Amino acid sequence: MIEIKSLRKTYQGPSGPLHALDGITLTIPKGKIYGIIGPSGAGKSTLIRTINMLERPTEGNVIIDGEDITRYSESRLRALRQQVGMIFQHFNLLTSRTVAENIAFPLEICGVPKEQIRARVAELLPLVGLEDKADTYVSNLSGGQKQRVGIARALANHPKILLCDEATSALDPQTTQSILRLISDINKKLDLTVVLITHEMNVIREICDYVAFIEQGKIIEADSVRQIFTNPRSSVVKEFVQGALEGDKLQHLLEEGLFHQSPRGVLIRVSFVGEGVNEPLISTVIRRFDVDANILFGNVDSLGDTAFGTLLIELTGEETNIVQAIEYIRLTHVRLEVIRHG
Amino acid sequence: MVETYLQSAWETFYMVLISSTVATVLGIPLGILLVVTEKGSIGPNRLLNNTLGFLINVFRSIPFIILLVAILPLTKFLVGSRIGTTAAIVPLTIAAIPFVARLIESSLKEINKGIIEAARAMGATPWQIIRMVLLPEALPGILLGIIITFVTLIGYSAMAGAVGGGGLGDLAIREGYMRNNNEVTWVTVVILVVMVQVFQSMGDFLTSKIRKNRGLL
Repeated sequence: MIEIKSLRKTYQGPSGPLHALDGITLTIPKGKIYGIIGPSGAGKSTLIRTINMLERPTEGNVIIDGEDITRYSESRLRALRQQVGMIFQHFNLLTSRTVAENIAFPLEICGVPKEQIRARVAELLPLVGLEDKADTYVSNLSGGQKQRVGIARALANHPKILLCDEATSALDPQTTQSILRLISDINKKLDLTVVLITHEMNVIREICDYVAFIEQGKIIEADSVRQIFTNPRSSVVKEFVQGALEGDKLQHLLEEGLFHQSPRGVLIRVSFVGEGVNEPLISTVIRRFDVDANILFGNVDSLGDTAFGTLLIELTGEETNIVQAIEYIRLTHVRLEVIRHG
Repeated sequence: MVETYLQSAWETFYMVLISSTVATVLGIPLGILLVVTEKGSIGPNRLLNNTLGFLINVFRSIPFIILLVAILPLTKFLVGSRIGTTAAIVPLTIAAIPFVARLIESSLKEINKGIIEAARAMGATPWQIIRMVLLPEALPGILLGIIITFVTLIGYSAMAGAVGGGGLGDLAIREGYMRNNNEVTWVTVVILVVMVQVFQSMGDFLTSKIRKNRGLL
């Protein structure tokens, strides 16, 4: 378990002090995948680096399994770091070494005997699916393969914690999926505590058990992913959740003005969570209020066993009827937003 | 005459080889020190960094011919004589050390900072980072730097004639220029050009081979 307590990191900027971390308190349970999400400059990169003290906080404590590592000396920290794996956005592999030699690197740092290193590397290569690339120099690999080397390297010392610093941000969507699956697999297989930072809600949704939203060095909301998705409290988090559920597609369509062709009608967006998906809301509205509903965009997705849906609907008919229909929808547990009035 | 040319070519080669070797051995640690003591690096030390940078700049700004004369007492102390080929090695080496240090510094600075951070995250000591990350990663650049030093010293060694150091440059000045013997001037220049070409090509070949091997080309 990792406990982060009232953590502050202050830099002296040209126009006064800058608070990269402004009183962060988090508890990261053992064996889970904990995501930290926020816009760039929010402090998430600084935050993840305090877990292995690559960044020393100005105030506050980081406690790993009951040990306050903020009090550690540099040499004790080095011993700790050997037990905490880390992977990076730009992989940070040694170009002077082959795949196998890169995986061996952290073991050489710890002074593991050559024979044991060889055996451990031979174990790790198939785990990340790179058996046939052992003697390839890393510059000849694709981004996804490089991150697999990064993961194997991070796991070499049998760490208890894996830190992922925007590990999929430089990868295409397909490769991102396969890397996320790998991280999720090793989390279960090795009972590894994973802390990851990202700016992509998709990553949180795909593999995280817990999530913390961070903005300007402060935690806005932190909870289980299920809880955040079904019941976001702050508006920032709501927006993030909605974005993750609709994807960029709806936003893109709206920006292109594709839905503004018909001059009549009211454009609304309804978002269903959980059971709402199964209710015949639209047909009820059409029958009860004598309006026409033209579905312009629809999307249903799931998180675990909870379903989510979004519909973009154009309502046409008598104005009073439309107003009543909207009132009615608002009374149900479906979220409604008017995008354009008639 | 051929023997004179060969003798001079050997003297040049000998002076340059010894001085660039010694300068490399002493310059690499200085280059490393310049990089690691920088702010935000693995062993920041502002005082040491500034002092070292200043001293290197001072030595680099002294014209070689002045340096040659100015350090005569030191030369005498180190090699027991103020004149001769071996005596010329001392000023050549001293001129080359800061040069090597700056070249090493710039090739080490080209290493992606993320790789160093990754090594720190694995619990590497500063010494391990130097040995296992900085030097191997910068190897092609370091090799090129050594070759550049070697080639530059060939030029500097011409001035070594001033302390009776001999070599091709000295031959060109004494026999070619002062005695107005154009043939000697031309032949020595051609030999120097060939020497420079050969060593530069060797360096280029070696570095590009390493880079290609690593998939960087």
